[in-house]
Amino acid sequence: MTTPGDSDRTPAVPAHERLLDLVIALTQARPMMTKAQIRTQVRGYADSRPGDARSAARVQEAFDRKFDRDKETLRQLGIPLLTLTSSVHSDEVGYRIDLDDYALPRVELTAAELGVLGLAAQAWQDSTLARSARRALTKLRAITPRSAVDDAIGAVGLGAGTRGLLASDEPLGDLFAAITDRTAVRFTYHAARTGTSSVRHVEPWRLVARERGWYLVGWDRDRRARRTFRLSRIEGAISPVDGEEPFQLPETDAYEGTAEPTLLQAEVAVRSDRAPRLRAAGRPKGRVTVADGDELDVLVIEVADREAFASEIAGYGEAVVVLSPPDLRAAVLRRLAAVAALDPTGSPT
Amino acid sequence: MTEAAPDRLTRLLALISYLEENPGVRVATVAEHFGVTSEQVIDDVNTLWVSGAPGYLHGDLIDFAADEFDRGVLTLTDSQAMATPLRLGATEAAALLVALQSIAAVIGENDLVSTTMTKLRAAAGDAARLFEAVRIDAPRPGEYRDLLADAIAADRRVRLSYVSAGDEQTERDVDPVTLLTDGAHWYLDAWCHRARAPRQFRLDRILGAVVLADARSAHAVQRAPATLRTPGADGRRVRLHLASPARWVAEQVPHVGVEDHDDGTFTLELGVTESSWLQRLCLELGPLLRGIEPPEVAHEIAAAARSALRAYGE
Repeated sequence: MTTPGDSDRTPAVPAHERLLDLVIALTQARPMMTKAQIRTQVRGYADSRPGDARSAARVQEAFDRKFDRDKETLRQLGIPLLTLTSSVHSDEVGYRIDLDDYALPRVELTAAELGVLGLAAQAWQDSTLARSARRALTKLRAITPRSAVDDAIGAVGLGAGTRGLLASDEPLGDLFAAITDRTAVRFTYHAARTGTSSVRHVEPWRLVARERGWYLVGWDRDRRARRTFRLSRIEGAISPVDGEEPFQLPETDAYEGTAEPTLLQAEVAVRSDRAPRLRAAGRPKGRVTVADGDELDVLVIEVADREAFASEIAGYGEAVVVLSPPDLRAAVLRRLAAVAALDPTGSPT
Repeated sequence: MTEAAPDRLTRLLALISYLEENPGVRVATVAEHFGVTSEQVIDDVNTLWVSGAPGYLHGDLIDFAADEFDRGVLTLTDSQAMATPLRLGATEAAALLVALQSIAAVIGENDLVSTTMTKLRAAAGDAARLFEAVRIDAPRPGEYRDLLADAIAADRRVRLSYVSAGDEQTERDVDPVTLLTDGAHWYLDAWCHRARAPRQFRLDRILGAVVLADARSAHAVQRAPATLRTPGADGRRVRLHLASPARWVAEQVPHVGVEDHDDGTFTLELGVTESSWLQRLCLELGPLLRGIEPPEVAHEIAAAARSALRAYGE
């Protein structure tokens, strides 16, 4: 068995053992443990003992770094670490873990509910958040006698399909914290519209996941307006704006896209046996002869977004021709003409 | 790969709480519950056994009933006052909350998911604020998801009317295996009797589906759990020069590489297996597309645009 006296001869204590001993020591500390006590008494720190004077300074520095890192780890795990000042020597700082704030609220999860959380924890592809979710799951397993993943899969109807649903290598974790604490953030943003990058200061309100991407909705302090940012277009780190009161959330703020979509009715002509999905979406309305002399089937289609529909129709190429309305037809022609011009060797139309 | 220290520490603390509540539990049961191997549990117990308060003498250490341990049974005899279950960290709570929300978004109304959600909110404390702040827009599953899920459950073959990426409609009998989503689309993973091979079908391209009387073949039943196919590196190399607002292409289409230019434009290198797919993408992009390489591909796609213009009399 390892005792502090053996430390010169035994290999270094692994980080998880050092952290566990630190947690136990600081939980039992009455009223607190000073840094010096931690360094000399807690296993895993005690192996860095001073030799001559110069190496003593180095050892002290190494201890400080290690201890700072460990404190940060404990805080990230939700362990309430108190920093206290001695009542006798006011310049002496000590630490203790506050057991009152330590406990997980008592929730009684059934085996199937824990199973659902087990499935959920697999949804993150990103390794940092996947690990965070798994730690949360581990903590909930501690207070739940049994789990039934099969029951959950049965009830939810999703098995392997949940894997990697939340694909993300984006800095979501930082934004989770900022949204929860209502802290403004600063980041460099590459605006797709202009192709330029600039520093933005944003009060983060909400996150929306859509089409394999995450979007931040918030108040852009530089633009003095509500803005949406695609997270993959953020360059570098997101840093909190420190030293402010928590920002105020707007009283009402409709989610982006809740406005009623503008519906327009389009008439398009489709060549025989082409564009089956478009046919399935539309209503047939006779036939028409188009400019190149072919007879096509006419469809009437309800359209929510003109520009998106114009792109879709342009994508069909010669298979689909817009008959009306004129602005939709013009939008399709713009796309086709631009692509036709990409080939300088092509014959003129 | 060695487990990161914070993850290991979390499980060590969780084990103390769990074993305090569940004395006399078998190592194998604990392993299954925590999703680790029995060797890992024994390793964890051995770590706990030498851990404790400064002094590290007999009464300072976490202790187990040794005779039971030799029989593969765990009973904690001294927790060193560490049996209180540890609360969730803010990011931990948020990560699991959002993950659960993604499940809810994908499957819609579900009693089990909503009771789990309520309890997780209670466990999360302050971090539960994220429930209001995060929204997940799942792709619409379309009208055939339930039919396909029922066919999988009933072990039945399905006849699909399907439109390929190249816009061709086919009828095919498939043995459905599982439904998947990548957040943008829903897919059916199935054994296709027409192709005599496993295939993935996008649900929004299914125009019709009928459950057949036949049972699924062994191909479907014996397949390993599916993962989403990620096309990319194979196929013909094509470079698209794109204006900045076309950034979504780089974000959504699997590609070989992307190169940013000083003027805000960028070049996307693709591995193209279906030329009809590339043609469609290029025509959709219109003026955002600034150039195509190699020249013969540019020529081909520009020709398609010209023949479309002729249909308009342009």
